[in-house]
Amino acid sequence: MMWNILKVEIKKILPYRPVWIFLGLYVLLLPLIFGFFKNSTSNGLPLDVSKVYGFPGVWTYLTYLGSYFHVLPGFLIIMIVSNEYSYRTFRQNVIDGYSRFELVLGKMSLMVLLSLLLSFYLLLVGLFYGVANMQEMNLSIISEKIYYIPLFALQGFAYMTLALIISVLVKRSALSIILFLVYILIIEKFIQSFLPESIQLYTPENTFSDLIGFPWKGIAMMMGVEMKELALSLAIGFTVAYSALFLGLSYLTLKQRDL
Amino acid sequence: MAINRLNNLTLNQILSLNNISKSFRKLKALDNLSLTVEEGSVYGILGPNGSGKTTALGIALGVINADSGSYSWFGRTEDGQRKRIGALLETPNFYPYLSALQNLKISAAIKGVKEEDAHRVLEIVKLSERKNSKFSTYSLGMKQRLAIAAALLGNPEVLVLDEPTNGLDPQGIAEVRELIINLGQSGKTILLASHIIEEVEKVCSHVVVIKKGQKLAEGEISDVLHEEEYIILDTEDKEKLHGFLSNSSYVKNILKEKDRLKISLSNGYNAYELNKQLVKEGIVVSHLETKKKSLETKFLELTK
Repeated sequence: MMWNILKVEIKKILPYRPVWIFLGLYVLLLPLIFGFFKNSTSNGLPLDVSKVYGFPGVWTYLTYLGSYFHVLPGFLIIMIVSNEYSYRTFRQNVIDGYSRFELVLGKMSLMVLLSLLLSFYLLLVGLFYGVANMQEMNLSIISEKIYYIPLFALQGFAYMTLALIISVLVKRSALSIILFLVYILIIEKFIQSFLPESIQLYTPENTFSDLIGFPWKGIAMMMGVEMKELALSLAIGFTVAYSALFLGLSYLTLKQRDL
Repeated sequence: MAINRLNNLTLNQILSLNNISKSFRKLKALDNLSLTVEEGSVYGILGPNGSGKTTALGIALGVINADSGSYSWFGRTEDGQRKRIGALLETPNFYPYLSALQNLKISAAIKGVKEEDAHRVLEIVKLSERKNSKFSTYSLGMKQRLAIAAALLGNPEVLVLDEPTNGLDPQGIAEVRELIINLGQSGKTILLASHIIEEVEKVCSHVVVIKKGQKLAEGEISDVLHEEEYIILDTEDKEKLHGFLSNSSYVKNILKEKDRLKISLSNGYNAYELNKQLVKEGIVVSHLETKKKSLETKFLELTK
């Protein structure tokens, strides 16, 4: 059943141009910008090329850069969901036989596919840089910290669930995209400032972002900057919980709404 | 034996709406509407614009949530019967950047129907030549025909068609009506919502007339929409005539039209018998005219 639902979702978006534009931007910009790190020692952080580009460091630095790219598939999900509203195709899908649950399942399957594809791409980029900067052939050093790739996949999926609930609630793509960005950049920080310190780290976007920590943490601490990050197990647990919550809320919203 | 008959009865029931109410903010779109569609009937929902036809069908099709009441398809209340139904609701809804064929393939996949069936239904609605054009390039009439094609996917046993001739040219209207008649004759159950009385009269076997979300009349088409006779009378002593008619069992209702009286007779009586009775009472009429109500008048009267 799941496979059929995913196939329908793919049919819906394959000829949709923005999909290719966003994916193209992702594929092009990620390795390019990652490559630029080499030339950007001016940002104050001492950069050891072999540490950033070689194994196993490449996995932490590349996924950290990639975590900023999650907004692109997020935008895509927002546009796809907003289209379903504005073309009234959510309505048509239900008339044709989908339940509201299957509407959400469709988007979820697409989000899983996107996060897996993009993580696989990241894996390829990482291998490319890693091998190019490898001094000696050593397989164990490649797989060290490669668990950052599945963490990256989970993180991408989580950001897309946030995009999903916003677009399901708001219906309009431009407004949803703005809200998505403003939430990540401003609203959540604002909310955090009202929360007691003990739970500040447990807001949704913060748990997502702590899946892949700040790679220069050691240096920052040496420079006296205090870094507060969740333990990885907590970040994983809360990310899964928030993603499930956003998916559930999307379903409940669609269920009680007239299409 | 009795149980068997009961089973047969529920089997024959395709759709039943039970006391459905729905409001959009302050507007009461449906007010305790109930109706039953039986297998093999071509059931018309007739009502003026904004009477609640689309809302009723939207609830039956699961896209609008009723405030109260319940519905069942094929005697079952659980979700998941819609794949057996082909439906066109209000406007054609398709992905504008996809071709007609691509759109139909999506509908087919959701319904669990073979994708090849898309070619058959495109043939029926005469869109085969334009099947690879994007939906956004279609004219209103073509969009409507594509929506009908989508409803026909998988050759469903039940069709729900909401204003199916909307936006079509006269030839297209004739073709779609003929298609519906043929489908009805082939034994399919069809629900047709329309504000056009001739359409319902030409195509349907049963009809419900609704206005402001309430049921005004329901039954076989010949009972609800038959052309009714009425009689226009005039005489010198209008008081006496009116007095007699008011108390006569012949007369169903009396209206004053200008200075004449317009009456409709109870079932089984005609103008001849009425006149005989008037003469007996010593009332001589100066004018007696039998007229037939047009369907439009009937419709306007029903929905007044």
